[in-house]
Amino acid sequence: MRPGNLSVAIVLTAAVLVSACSSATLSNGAALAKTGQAAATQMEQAATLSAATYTALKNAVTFDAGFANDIDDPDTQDFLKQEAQIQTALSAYGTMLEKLGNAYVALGALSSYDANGTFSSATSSLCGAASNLVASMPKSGSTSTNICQGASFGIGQIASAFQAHQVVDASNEIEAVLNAVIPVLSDPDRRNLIVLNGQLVQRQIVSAAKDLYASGIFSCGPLLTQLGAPLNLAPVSGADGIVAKHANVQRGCLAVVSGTAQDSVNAVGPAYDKSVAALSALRDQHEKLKAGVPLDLDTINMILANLQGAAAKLQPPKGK
Amino acid sequence: MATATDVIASLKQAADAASNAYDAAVAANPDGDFKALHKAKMAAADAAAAAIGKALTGDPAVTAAQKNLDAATADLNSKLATLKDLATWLGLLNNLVSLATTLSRFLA
Repeated sequence: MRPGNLSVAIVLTAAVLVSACSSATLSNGAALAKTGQAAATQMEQAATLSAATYTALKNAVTFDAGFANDIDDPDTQDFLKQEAQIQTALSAYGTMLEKLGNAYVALGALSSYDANGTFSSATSSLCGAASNLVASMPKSGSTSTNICQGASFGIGQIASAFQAHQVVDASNEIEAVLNAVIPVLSDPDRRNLIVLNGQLVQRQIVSAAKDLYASGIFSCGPLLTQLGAPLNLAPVSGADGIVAKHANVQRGCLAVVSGTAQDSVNAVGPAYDKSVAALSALRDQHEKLKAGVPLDLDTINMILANLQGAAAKLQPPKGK
Repeated sequence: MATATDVIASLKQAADAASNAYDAAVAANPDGDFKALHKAKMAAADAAAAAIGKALTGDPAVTAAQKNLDAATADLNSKLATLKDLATWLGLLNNLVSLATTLSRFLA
């Protein structure tokens, strides 16, 4: 092989290797960004008292006060005031986690941007125009239809490599934030306070629903439908009227409502812990991305699935 | 020695017990008079929220009254299932709230 051909072969081989590494980094970055954004959102929900949750709390507590003919109770007013102050205290966590989520969105955009295609398209147009120009010149002696053949391939790979380098840099920055945030969120005292308050709030929210159910406002129909489903049975029309006349059935429905309510309170702690675990798992994946090692996305997806399951249990029981 | 978080956990348990008592009373007789029970429930919830809020703003405190409160909470929980009398519930809740109020003063 002549020296010139050998050089071309080496350059092309290197370009192919760089291309493979860049492609893996970019796809890893995109996957990491997706799971990171979900984990940050879940963590934010677990660590803060959202405006929607505070509104639900206020409505539930106010309703309960009216239900008990105790609308001017000073402790009720003070309780809501205390929770509003707690909401403000926790908003610092919300801001921090929202920014973390935004950083993952940016990482995703950076990873998914088609730098190779964009550069290739631009250089292809340029090379096409230049080739036409050269071919139109007398005595050019050019036999190639594209004077940039080979060169455009190299430029595309350089673009990808540069992009991959940027993704790794962004990943490192996010990892540095995680390294600072996770110890704060994992602090046992701080964690317990946030979880205890979440349980206290959830307990008050479900209390109003339980009391309304006991008063016969909500239908037991959805539960009866679930109970009959394994045998393809459906409640008869006007089933709630029958439930109201049978204390045993009424008690059974109330037992399930109470159990579901308690489940939602019990879910507060696991939702928080699973959110922290997801962020910790992400930190490990950032290390892998930096080292060029394939990401363990199955593990992250499993943690996220658990986390979403715990978050779903926080929703109060729904009635028709 | 109990930490501030332990004390707050006890206050939260007291609030849970008060809420459970209130809900049980409503379930037993939805058309009853729950004003006194509601006052007791919200006093316990307010004491817990005040302690949590204080600790979250970086000013935690500890008190030895925690054991009395824990005992009262445990007593209420154990009796809840068999209690049918509103007056008895109210008496227990008043004791509990009194203890919770005493405890929360240590955190003020």
